Amino acid sequence: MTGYRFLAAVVSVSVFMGGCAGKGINIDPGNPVYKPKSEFELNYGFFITRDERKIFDEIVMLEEFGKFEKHFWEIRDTDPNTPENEFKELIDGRLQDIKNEIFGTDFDIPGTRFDINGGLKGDLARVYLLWGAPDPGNKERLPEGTYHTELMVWYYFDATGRPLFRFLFYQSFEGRMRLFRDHLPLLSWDYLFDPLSSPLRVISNRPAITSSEELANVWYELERDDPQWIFRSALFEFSPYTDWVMEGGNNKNRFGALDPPEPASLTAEKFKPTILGQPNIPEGTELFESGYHSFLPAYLRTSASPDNPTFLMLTILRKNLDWVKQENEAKPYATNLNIRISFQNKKTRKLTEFVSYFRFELSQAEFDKRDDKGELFGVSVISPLTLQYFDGEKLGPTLGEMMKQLEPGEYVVNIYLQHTITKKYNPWREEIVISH
Amino acid sequence: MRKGLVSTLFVFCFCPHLARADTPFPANCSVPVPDISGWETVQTSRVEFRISDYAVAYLGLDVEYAEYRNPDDPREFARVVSRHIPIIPARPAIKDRQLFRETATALYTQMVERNRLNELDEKTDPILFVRWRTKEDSRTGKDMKDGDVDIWFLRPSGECLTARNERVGVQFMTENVGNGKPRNVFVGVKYQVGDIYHILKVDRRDLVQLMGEGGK
Repeated sequence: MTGYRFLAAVVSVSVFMGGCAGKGINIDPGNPVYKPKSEFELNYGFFITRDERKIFDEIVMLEEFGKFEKHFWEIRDTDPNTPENEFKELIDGRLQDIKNEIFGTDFDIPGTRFDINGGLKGDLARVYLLWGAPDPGNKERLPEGTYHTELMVWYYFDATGRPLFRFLFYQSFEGRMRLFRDHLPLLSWDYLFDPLSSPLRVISNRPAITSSEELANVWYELERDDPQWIFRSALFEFSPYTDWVMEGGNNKNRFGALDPPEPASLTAEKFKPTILGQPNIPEGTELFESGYHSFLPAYLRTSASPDNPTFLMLTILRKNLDWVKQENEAKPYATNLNIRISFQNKKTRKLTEFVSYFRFELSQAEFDKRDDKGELFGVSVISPLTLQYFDGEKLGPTLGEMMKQLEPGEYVVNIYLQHTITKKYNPWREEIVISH
Repeated sequence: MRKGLVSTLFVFCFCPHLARADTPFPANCSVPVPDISGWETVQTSRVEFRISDYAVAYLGLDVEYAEYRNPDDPREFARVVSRHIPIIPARPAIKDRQLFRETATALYTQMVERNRLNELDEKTDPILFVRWRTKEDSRTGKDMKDGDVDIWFLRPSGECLTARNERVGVQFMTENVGNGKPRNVFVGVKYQVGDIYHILKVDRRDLVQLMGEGGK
């Protein structure tokens, strides 16, 4: 370290110490919660979100802290399917790595230590705790030069092999490796050599830069020492992705790499899965279900031709339907079914689809006899040929009319009968020949 | 959706709540289905197929039971295929390149799926019951079929079909969703005994909705 650097270090350490007075855990050290809360802050402070911070700072009782800590880890568990908390294990493993000074003997950056660089509250530890170690070969040190200070980069790549982040550390005047944050918004010589705004000022080993020439010396030295632009790239750009910033993201369309990560369960809540196919039974529905849980039995008749009115006739035993109670004195029970019939020409593969909907209503007497084996009371019949196309929005021709438009040929017919709210269903696949 | 990603899966699970064998079968079978109460589950798999990177369709359960009541003769087996309401849990894609977020979300999705599937497991309709016995082949020392294979099968009409030594066909079904183009996707599974079939299938509208959401 140069003489300038030593002087600056003394000044900055004094300022730092003064600034820290009264900070930290603002409660009586005699309070039983002081120690666990302090340790929690020290170890996991970088993971406390802004909302949690408000609560955490107010904690003065051990019981409150216990509840906070339990909830803190619960919502971060990355795999709720296991009894272990994988996230806590991951972070505790990284804490242990820091205590073990794993970079002291690292092949890429030997001699790098956390303890002399701010310990658990230093920038190195912050990046390490949040992102772990870069893969081997993705971190490098550049020794101090005549004009620039010692530098170190940690690169993290995404699944496509593109850099996700470039963390650049520089040795500050107090002797600690600090994170470079003054990225140049654009590669412009005017900015680069401007003594007031140039990012090169930060990585210069002079305490004060007053001229463009001094900055040029830093740059030319970097050009010589960093021909592959490993360090210089990190000087200009933290991430090539515009939705990533180093800090100050909003977790929606801008993400801060050093922000406390959003707890896994909250992320999952935002990105929760859609489960298609679920029953859609309105609250308060009085439902009389068949004995089946998912099945809607029906007899299908496909005999004869499309001109025959019984073609594709469906016969359903009423006891096998789910009935909904409705406000109708004459017909207090109703069931609604969707039907989809598709015809695919085996030769041309052309698909013709028909969808419709129909409703049966029963009087109380009919409903009471729905288990009867007699043809009259126990059965409901659907003749799709006479049904009109209805997809929930628009009406169309009847199935009979639609089928008359089909080219003669062999067809695969798929039929899907489904209760509209309970989603019980029955599919068929038949092959027919249409010859008008 | 990438075609190559469409694959069929039978994922084995060992669900403790399924270790009961009180599955009902239609009461109208001319030959009653054997009472397998007290039998233990050998293995359970789901009838499922992958639709895309982000969606799997679940149609039912495939349960194999083995009799352990007689420790001297644990050679009688039964297989039960049951159906439930088909569901397609679809996970949204996270596009912020944070692998751990994707992983965590996938794992939470897994939990939501599992909870829903556990609910559905309690509400299944058996459609196929197959019983057979095995014996040890004296030459090879390995198990071989012993005697008849009895089959009980639920027709689409709800009636019971009984058969003996018939082949039970299992066929994955596809449907065209290409709107005129030759693009087929898996939609279900067809079980067949003789000329009688029973299909487990997703609702095409769910499939089309899924395809519409960015072709996931």
